[in-house]
Amino acid sequence: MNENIKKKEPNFWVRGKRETKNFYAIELLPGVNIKSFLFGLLVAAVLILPLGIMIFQYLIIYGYLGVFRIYLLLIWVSLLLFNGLSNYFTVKIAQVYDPNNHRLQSVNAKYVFFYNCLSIGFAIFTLLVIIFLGLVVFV
Amino acid sequence: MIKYLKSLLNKFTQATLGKKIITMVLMIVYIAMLFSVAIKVNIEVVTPGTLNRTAYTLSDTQEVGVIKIETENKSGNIYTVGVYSHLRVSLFQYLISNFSKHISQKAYNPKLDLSNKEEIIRGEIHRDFSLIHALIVAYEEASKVNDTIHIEYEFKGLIVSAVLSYSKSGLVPGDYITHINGVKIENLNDFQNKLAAIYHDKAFTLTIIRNNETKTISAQKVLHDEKYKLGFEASEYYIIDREKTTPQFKISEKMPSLGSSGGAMTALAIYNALLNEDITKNKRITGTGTINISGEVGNIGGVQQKIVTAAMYNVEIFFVDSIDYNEAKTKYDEIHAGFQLIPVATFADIIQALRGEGHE
Repeated sequence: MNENIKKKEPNFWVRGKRETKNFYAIELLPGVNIKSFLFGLLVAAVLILPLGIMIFQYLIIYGYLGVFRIYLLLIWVSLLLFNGLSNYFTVKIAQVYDPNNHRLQSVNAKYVFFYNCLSIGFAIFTLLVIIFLGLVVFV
Repeated sequence: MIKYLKSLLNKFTQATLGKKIITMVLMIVYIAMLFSVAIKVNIEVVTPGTLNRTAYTLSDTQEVGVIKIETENKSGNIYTVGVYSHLRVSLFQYLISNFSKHISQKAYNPKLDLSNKEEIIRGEIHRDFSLIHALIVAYEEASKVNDTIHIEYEFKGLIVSAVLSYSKSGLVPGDYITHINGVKIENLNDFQNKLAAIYHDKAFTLTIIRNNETKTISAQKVLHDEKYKLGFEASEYYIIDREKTTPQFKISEKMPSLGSSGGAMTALAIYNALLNEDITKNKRITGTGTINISGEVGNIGGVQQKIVTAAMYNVEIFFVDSIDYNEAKTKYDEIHAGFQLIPVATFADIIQALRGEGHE
């Protein structure tokens, strides 16, 4: 057998799933868990805020074109992005608060971001909520 | 959190020049986005809107519209056309509104112009008196065809729909003016004549009905734009005696649109619902223009956006008041609209056009 043959790197989806799983399996310092989660949400919300307001203000002006479904799609994409960002910042903040945890430091937040942006479970759940609220409740 | 921000700052200071530039550019973009949605500009943006049902009858399976006429006749496909007006939009909204030639912008003066809340109150008052005017005109016109149709009404006073900031009239929107200096007002013209006879800086009294109580208030004209004005807007308000009106009607509690621009179309829908024959021949009809009880169709704003809206909803006939016709025609030609655009000055013109007397 040729020992020089390199093992193929898993794609970002598989790696993201693995990194996310690793991160949630790590036992963090007391307080770091909740702190990193809340601050992660906060930072993601602050970052996504202008985009969210822009989508809302766009609908106010161009709502007459019947772009309601596009609007719902944009909200859905923003929620997926928000999910990715909040997970990314949760990892990053936890790494700053617990610098001596080697397992935690080895988690690559970039893959966590991609995986959570495209998380099928979250995507289906938010899509169903948006369809229900947007097409059943508000229309 | 501070610890995290400090670590970010450390990373930034140690980063390469290229990364620093990218980070700075992203921060500028973020701040620009935030400012563009947060900063308000003194601009009013008017966009195309939607069509709304007007009258319906007992023969309609769905109760959609502002007024129910208790007949078995066909109500026809007659709609009012509404536009959306947005006061003091954000910088972002102003910028994106420039991308469409169907959206118009005009300057808004927060010190002189009505606020959003005042505009809504004004729109509700306009809608209410306009509906009454439409009922009177439609019933009276329909009674010429069928003498069993009858309406009785009386003048209640002038309803105040807006009071400008400089006004010293002491009036508030929703007041009914019944007398000036103790003399009963017969109609809007009568009030304007009596008001013109009062010397500009002389105080006078107005008898009003406010919250069902009769009051007398002191008012005075104010010099504004080189003219002495009272600084308010009022229109004739009539009370319909429903007991003595046949057929009966019922006004919906839910009314989606604001303003009086649908007056002429509402009158047409009521007229059609009152008669056995469907004079619309099942055509999809809309239009714009106020109506007074003499049946005169008045001008209104947002005509270009209304033409675009009508084209979007595939209407077949669009009636426009003769004052706004040229503006409407310009937009009509620009978008190559497929409907018939008909200028009208009176309600009788609308009827005449639909009966094929005098129009193609």
